[in-house]
Amino acid sequence: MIKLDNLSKEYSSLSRSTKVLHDINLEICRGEFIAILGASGSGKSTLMNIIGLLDNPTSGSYLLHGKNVDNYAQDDLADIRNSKIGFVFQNFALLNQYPVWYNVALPLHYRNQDLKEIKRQACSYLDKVGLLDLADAYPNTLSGGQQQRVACARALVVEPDIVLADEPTGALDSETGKKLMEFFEYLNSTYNTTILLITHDASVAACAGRKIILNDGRIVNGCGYDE
Amino acid sequence: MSRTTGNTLLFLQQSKINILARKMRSFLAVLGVWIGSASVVALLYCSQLATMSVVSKLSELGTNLISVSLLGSSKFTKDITVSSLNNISKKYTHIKTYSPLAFSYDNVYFNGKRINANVISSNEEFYNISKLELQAGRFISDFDQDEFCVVGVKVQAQTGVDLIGSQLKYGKHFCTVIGSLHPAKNNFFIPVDIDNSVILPIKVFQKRNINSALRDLVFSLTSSDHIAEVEGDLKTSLALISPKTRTYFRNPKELIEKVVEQKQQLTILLGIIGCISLLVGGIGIMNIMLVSVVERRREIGIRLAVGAHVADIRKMFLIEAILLSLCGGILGVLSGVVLSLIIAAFAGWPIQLLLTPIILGFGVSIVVGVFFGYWPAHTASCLTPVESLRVE
Repeated sequence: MIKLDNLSKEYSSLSRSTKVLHDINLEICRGEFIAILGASGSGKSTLMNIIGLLDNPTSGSYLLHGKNVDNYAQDDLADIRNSKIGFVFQNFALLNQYPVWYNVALPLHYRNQDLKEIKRQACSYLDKVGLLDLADAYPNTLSGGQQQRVACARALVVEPDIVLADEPTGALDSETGKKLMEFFEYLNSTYNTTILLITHDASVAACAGRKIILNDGRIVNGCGYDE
Repeated sequence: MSRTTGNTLLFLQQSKINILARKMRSFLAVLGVWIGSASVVALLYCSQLATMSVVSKLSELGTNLISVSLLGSSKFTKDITVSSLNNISKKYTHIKTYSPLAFSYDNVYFNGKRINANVISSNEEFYNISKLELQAGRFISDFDQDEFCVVGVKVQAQTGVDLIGSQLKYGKHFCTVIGSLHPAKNNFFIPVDIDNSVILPIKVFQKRNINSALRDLVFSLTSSDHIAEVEGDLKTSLALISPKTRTYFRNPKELIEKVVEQKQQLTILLGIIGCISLLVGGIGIMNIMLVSVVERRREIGIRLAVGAHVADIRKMFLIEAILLSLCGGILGVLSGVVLSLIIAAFAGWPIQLLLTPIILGFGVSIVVGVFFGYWPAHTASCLTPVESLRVE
């Protein structure tokens, strides 16, 4: 589904340039549950941003469903993000001025759908994460775990090919974090949703079927399969 | 792969939510446009109402009049007499009638007490041409051989008695009051205050004051279409009678055109002044929208991450700016119209609903919203998802 060939990323400023990813080669198949592990500054988030089409690599190629996305226009990349990729961020990234249902419906907003249909779909995914009764509440009135479940519902509402989760348990207590990981496992096993999880917590990564360890922008455990 | 645009209804709903989420700031943005568009509407509205008022007053005089002032020494103007004017009047078929005016600078006395009044003399047509109305008695006639006179309302008021039948003294002469007038309408062609005048028959007056010369003439034409033609004819004829007399022609039609032209220039000037305050309001909107873009960078990042196009982000902020201007515009138009009507009521202008200032005020406020909202919206759309998401 996703293939990265010799992918590198370098940030340049006037005074110096910093290479944060070095020749990354990675293949992700449909239905995989992958955890990317690494210390802070190892390039995990940069890799996730590139896989999530939020950022461009400096060199190398990125094939999504066999198509090279390097030359896609910004709007085409936005359409791919809207239809094939779901994001879950560490600090939930919810919009507090809007009700919970609208936060879940946010990706559908950009699909030219009927308002009633948008709300219906959002509510059905809120039901899946067990928060239907809080559809009209505002995110800042919810607990951390509830907020992260809202973020998960938003990621899933577009029925994505892949869910990218950047430190999803980072802002949660261990018990809520554990429940969230169980939810990811459930998604992966029940709906065959591909999940790419970024974490520095080995216990969180233990849920994943494959672990990729990044160190100074390089994959240090070969192809990423457990050895 | 590309889609057209997001759900417009949702765009409007989220704009409403974002505006209401920052009530005080939104109110301040609206206030600027509100004051600006109110001043545009009020200035244009008042200017138009004032013009209408002046034009209607001029039109009341009749647009078929020509006024001629005879300038120069009375030695020369004396050549222009009532009989010569009668001949001119008969010669040109477009002249319906005319009224000459001569003045005396003598003091007026009633029962030995001096009255502050003008002495003017004219013919019986003066009554119709000046649209006078009698309060009592009758107006002077061309057949009057005796020294009769008609008094204006202020002359009557000064004496405190009914003057009809009484005698007034002007210079060395006496005249008997045969009529009194209602307050006269303001007439731009009669260079004296009729209300404060004693009006005598011109023939009798000129017999008694052999040195008096005609000063002003007012011609009434069969139609206003012939004004230019008759003016030319009169110039020629008067020049033949008295070559050294200078003539100054005026007519209501020309005056109306001049007034309208001047008011149009004034309207443009006032409109520009109003637009300056609207401009300040627009800058307020831009300022507030720019702050909003900075504050909502993370929101922009989230929206881009879930699939918003650059145009969607631009549209979101532009709709918010336009909605703010629209609110300011609606409030401004309403308050501008109300203010103008209050001013009109106090100034005695006609109270009328005028569409042009409303449409202009409203339209300009929307243009301001688009113009000043575009830059912040463009700034927002230029942010990259990664940059924006990094903001805490």
